[in-house]
Amino acid sequence: MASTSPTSDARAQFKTLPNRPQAKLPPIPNGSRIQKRPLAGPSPFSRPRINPSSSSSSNLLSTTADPDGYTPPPRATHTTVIKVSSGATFMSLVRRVRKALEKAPSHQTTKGLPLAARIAALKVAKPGTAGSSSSSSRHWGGIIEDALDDVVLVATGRAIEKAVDVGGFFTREKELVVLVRTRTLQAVDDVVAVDEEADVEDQVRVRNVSCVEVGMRWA
Amino acid sequence: MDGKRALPHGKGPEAKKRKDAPTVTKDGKPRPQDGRPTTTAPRSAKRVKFQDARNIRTQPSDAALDDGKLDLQRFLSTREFEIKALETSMRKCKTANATRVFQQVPRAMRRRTASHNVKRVPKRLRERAKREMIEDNTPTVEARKRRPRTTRARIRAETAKKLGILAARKKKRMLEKTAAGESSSGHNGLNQPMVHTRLARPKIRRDMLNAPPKAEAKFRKRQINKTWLPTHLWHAKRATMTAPNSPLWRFAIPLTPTEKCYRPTHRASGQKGVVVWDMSYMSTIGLYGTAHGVERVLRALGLTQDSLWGVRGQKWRAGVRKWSGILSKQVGDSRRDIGPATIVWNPQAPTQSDDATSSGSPKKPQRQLFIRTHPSCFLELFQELLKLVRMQTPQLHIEDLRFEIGSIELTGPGSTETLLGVLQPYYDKTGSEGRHSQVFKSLAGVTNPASLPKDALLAFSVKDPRLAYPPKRVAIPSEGTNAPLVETLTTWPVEEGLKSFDIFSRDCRFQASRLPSQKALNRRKGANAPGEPLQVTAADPPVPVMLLASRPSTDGQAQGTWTLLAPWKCIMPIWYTLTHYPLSTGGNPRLGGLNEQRQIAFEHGAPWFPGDFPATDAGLNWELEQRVKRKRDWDRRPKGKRIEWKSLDLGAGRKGEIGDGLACDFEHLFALYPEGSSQPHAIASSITDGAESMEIDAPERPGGTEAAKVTGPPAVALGLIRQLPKASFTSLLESPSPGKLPANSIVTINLSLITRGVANTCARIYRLPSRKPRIAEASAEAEVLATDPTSSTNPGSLPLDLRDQWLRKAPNANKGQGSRSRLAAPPQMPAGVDMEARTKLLAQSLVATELPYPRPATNELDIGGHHPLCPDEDDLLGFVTTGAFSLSEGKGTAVGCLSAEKALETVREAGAREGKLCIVRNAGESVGWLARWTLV
Repeated sequence: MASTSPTSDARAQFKTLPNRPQAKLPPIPNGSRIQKRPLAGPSPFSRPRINPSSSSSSNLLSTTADPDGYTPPPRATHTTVIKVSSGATFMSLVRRVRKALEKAPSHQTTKGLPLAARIAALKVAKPGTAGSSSSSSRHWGGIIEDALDDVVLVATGRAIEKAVDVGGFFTREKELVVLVRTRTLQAVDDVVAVDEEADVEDQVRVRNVSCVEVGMRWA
Repeated sequence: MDGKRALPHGKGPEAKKRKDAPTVTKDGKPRPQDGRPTTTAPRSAKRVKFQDARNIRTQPSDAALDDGKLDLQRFLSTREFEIKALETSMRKCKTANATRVFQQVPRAMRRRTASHNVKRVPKRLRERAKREMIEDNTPTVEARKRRPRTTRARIRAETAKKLGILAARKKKRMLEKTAAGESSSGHNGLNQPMVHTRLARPKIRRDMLNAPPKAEAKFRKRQINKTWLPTHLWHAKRATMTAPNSPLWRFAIPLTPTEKCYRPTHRASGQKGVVVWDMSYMSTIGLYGTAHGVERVLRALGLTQDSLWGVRGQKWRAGVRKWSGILSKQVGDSRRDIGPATIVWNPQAPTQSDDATSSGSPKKPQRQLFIRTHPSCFLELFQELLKLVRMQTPQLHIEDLRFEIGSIELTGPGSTETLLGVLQPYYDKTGSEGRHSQVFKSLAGVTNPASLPKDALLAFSVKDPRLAYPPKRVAIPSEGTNAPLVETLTTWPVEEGLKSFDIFSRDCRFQASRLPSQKALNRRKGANAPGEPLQVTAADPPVPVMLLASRPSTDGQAQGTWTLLAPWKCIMPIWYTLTHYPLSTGGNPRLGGLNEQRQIAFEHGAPWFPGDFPATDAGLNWELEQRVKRKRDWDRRPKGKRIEWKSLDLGAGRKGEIGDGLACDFEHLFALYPEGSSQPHAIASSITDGAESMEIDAPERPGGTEAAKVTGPPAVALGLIRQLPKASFTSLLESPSPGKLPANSIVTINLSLITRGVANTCARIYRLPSRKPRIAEASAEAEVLATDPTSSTNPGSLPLDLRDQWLRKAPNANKGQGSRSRLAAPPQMPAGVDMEARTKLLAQSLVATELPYPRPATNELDIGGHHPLCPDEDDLLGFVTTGAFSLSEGKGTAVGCLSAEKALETVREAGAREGKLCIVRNAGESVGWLARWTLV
């Protein structure tokens, strides 16, 4: 857990967590049923990204906390976000993660380059990459360490299991660092009458949804 | 060559093969010598370049031998040289490749004839393209300057020339006149108009059809039998349009973008991006009059649910929600569907509504509403409305607003973001920001319009989008801050301070259609500081828009759709800005055509109007047109390569396709044939048979034109079909007593194939055959159990266990059983038997042959030994109207129509689970596939 320190502080301040409310939602009225709306929040692809060239601290400060007091850190521009759906097959996810990891800037191969360039890369790359990664982590500091993820799997509900499975699969690889973070999202439900002809006004309610982010990066 | 000179001993094998090119000097420039034509010189230069690049210089190793002694230094330097030569050659080959510059352009930017016209490649590559064209001696022809070949073209060219001369003469005369006027100078003031009249407001005649907007003179001749969309010129360059002589629904409609886009459209509509359509061809009808009269009219159109007129429909009637559904009309004693429509009410000012509710005041509340429908059913709906409206007292009125209100549709995760980037609310005074525009602006971060309240609607005025062109990417709040968004989505505060919507007002629409010209905007922009958006001035009218959010008709997590209604004349500026919006996920919105509309409906498993609604007049016409088209395509194929419907082998001795193979033959399903035709297969045989039956048919239909076919008997027969709504089907299913179904009624379903296979249009849908033998056979119950059950049946009748054969195909049925190809369950060794019994059983199984001895004819018991036979014709349920491989499901899915009566019977008999299994067989194929259908 990369960002435990700020969140633990936040947790200390909160007496009752919004995602564990003391009063439960009332039962749905008789003759009604729940109709789930798609998750409302911005797509995981469009979280504010930090660009090493044009970083601005104001952008980071503008983000506010989740319902459970967790401030999602911004992501780096290169981070690939994969939304895990419950129907996705395990191997397809693994393949997508691998592909994204291979493309990650921290793991650039010289495959396909001309021979001279490859040789040149051999000479230059070793100190260069190590230096750059360390300097960048120093530069960003602890709060945004999540931003160093090369691939992030995002899953809610039934798909959490799948995302964690895939994360577990990649923990076997020695040169990878796998981090799992939990979050809470809010979902909106419609309470509609079962009988479509019935003359009952529809209601709306908010439900908390568990979410898991599995971050993977080259060690 | 340089290497050769550097090494005097060099006599490489390749060097011998190659002749020195005499025209090439040291620096590689061609020098025309020996009287060759200069045009070939660049070519030969290119060849030389290739040869030079491919040449790898080597050196024989004996060069390093000095008196039989190996000179190590020399030997090593030779090898070094060779390796270097190899490397340079590799590098050179790569650079001197044979590709031309227009091939490097990304696919979306490729243009037709880019190989012949440098202006078709992006500017940065134009120089290189020009050079390459000279090098390759590419013939360049400008279509404009080509000599006319046909008579028509020559006449046209001559006329153009004459007109040009005339225009020049006229211009000269005008110039002279002005010069004369300036010299006299007294008349100058008189020539200019003293009185400025307002622009003529287009007339909207009520209770009548209105003419399309008068086209520009240059384009008028092309719009005689059709109307162009406001974005026609934009689309015509980027999409395949309907053929000029066969417009669709009296419009020139983009069918599909010219670039390949099936998979990109799937992605953009579901995962990342946005697809946009110009849907201005959708027709809007305005209806206005007393509230009670309007209610009566709508009830007559099929909006009879009490929920619409009670508490639940309050928001709809207040004008903050829309209603979408199927309208219907009374035909005889049954109701026939007209088509899908969206109905929006114009909200009333609160004072008026108070009056209406408090007392029966003398002034009845006047309401106004829009009915937005599909152009294919517009005329039918308009006439039906006209009839209904005239019956009311006091009379209501309708307006044909087809060419007054245009629309754009967007779908995909980026759709809300795109709208936010393009539409900027217009406020005339500070603080007068409307509630709706506030709500709209707070929608940043919504990735799916389906997450808004059901049938949500927003109406406000926006600025001319060209003022802020090019559109900027909108700031999306970070993921953590979705609490205010969730708050908006739950409360949806749009009722506060509701005023009537501007888009309902004719004056507002007219004002908005007088946007400043692009030229004027450019002038203002030139005066402005660079990069600064233009300020709204008095010359920029507000553009009234309405946004409708709709969910996919099949409920789920699929993407919803935004529909943007705006005045017809404002569509083009909005469209132009829209297509250039930079999405936060990269790229721009994708263009969609009619086929993409169908594709997305199909991927959602939703029926598409009119194609999947054969029980409406519009759907009927569509089906008949498709039949004619399929027939034409079929006719065009050589005889050996087209399906001969009569000789199709369905197995068990059944020959010939059921009904017409080129049609969703509902006439055959319901045995609806015109009284005139004596034989039931008259329609089918005329198409299915070969030459001989054509001869027979010839006297019957001497014309054989398409028009005759469309208005002929099939239209009458198909017109008797009625659609049974989903709700009534489910209620019939739940009620214990078999209710009375309307005759010839169908239900729309979507089906997904369980195992394999893809269903195409016109595929036949069967139910599973019943277990009860149709012909009572006393023989061989025991025999069936003892040996292969199929062997005992008579030739020409279906196997008795056909249903079980099919059920075994379902994946959950044969869990644990390895063999899939076998129709019968393979014998398994019982658990816990000793070795002796095992050998015995094994010997038995080896001796006992599975194959029946007089070998049955092919396709007698099954199809090709792998597939069970298709059921008989009396198990035919319906037809697939749209079917393909679905990218969203990863397997074949389809939308189709079933006979309601048979479907009801099947589900009642076999239960909700097994009753919804069906067998789908493509027209002209004998193999069927197992599928499961669900009602939509």
